[in-house]
Amino acid sequence: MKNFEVWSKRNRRVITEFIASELVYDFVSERLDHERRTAMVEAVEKYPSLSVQIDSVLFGLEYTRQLQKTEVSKKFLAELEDSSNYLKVFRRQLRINDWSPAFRVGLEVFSVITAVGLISFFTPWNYVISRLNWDQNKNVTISEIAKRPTEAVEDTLAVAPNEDKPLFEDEKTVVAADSAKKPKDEESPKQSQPTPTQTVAASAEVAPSAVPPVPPVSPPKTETTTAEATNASKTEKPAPATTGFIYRGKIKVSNIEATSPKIKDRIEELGGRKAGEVELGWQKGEGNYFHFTMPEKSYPELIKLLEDYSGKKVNISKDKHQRVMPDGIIRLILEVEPVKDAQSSP
Amino acid sequence: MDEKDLHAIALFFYYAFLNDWMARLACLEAVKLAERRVKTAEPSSKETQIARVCYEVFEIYKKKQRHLSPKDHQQAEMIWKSPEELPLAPWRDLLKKGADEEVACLILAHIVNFSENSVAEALGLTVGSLRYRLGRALKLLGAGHLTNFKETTV
Repeated sequence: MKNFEVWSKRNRRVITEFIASELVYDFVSERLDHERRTAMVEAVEKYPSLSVQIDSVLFGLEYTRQLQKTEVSKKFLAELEDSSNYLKVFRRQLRINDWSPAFRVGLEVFSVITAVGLISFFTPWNYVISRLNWDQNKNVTISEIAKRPTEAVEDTLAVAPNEDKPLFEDEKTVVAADSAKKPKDEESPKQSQPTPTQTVAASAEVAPSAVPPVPPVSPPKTETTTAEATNASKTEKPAPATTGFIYRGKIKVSNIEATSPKIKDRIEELGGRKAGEVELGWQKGEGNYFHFTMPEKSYPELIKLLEDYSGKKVNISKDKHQRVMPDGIIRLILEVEPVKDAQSSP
Repeated sequence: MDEKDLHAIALFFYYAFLNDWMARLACLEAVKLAERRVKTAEPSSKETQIARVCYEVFEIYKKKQRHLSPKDHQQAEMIWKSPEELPLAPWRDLLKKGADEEVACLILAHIVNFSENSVAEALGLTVGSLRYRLGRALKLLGAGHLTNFKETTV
């Protein structure tokens, strides 16, 4: 109040027309203090132009109050709400609904074809096919595992007495390596197994009569084998963890009675030896069964021979097998069957 | 952003341009911008953010106005519906004669009904400056009406 007294000579707050004009909005909206309001009332009485301004402001306030009631369509508000979603904006700008149905269908077909083409182009088909083949091989191997144990045991039993003469020197080396792989077994008396040399010697002593006429084992060779076995046991190198393979094939020939002995002779000429219990060319059903080992270098000649007899290309599959063959030696199972047409003809 | 905010933006641009086509474009752009700003800002300052975005977009479109306005454009549907029997002539006069910032202040404070503090903060003004602008805009709006009234009575 003291400050106010300083400003006013008569202790009254007098305002000019200019000041009053600037205070019209605050006066109308009732934001002035009491004294200023009183001064404004006096100013309005004094200056008629102020009342016009007050009317204008009042009209303006009323007019804007009416404008607040403006309605906005719900559709547009929804459009505004979706405008922040870029996917919807993109679709709206594309105006897909306005496109002709034929064009839309064509575009869809083109998109599908393009997608399929790209997928087929970038798919590693070799890998997929190899995976499929692997699965097939796996199935075959499983069936072989179920079959092999008896054959393997019989194989061992049958071959052991006959092995007074080794089939292949390399094969023996592998067996020695196998025995060297298990030194603990040799230490225990119950579980100890004879070394290859012992096996050969024992078989020579115990069952010489059971073996068909086979040339006797020459001493130098035995020594060599013993030496090799000793070296193997000394070095005690672990045998490589490998998986063996077996070749399987089946051919059909027209005149099996004449052809089968020829095949047998030829296999023996190529260095083939029977593997397993049965003789080469064993009668199996209507056909013949050849289970043998032979040098790998003779394999192409054998294939050529079989193709000559069968008259077409021979399919030989190479499957995994638990028995590991020495380097350069392969194991084969060949089945020779008669051609049905030839068989039915008189 | 809720429907109330969208309604506020739509009202602002309609009365800022009185042109459906321009207002629609400006609304779409403002909503996108406001959506981002509101997400990052505090919830209490939502009104301020919307007011600021409206004013920014208004300034941009005011500059583009001559280049953007299509001569033969016809709005497919009516988006804004003013109260019946309310003439828009006074408002058109205001848009012609008034300053852009005064018009923007008037719309935000008295049509969109944002608080004076929010509007002042959004426009970077003091509340006193805002009231001064509002007073001028309201006088101008009423003056046109009174002139028309006098002309009709005489």
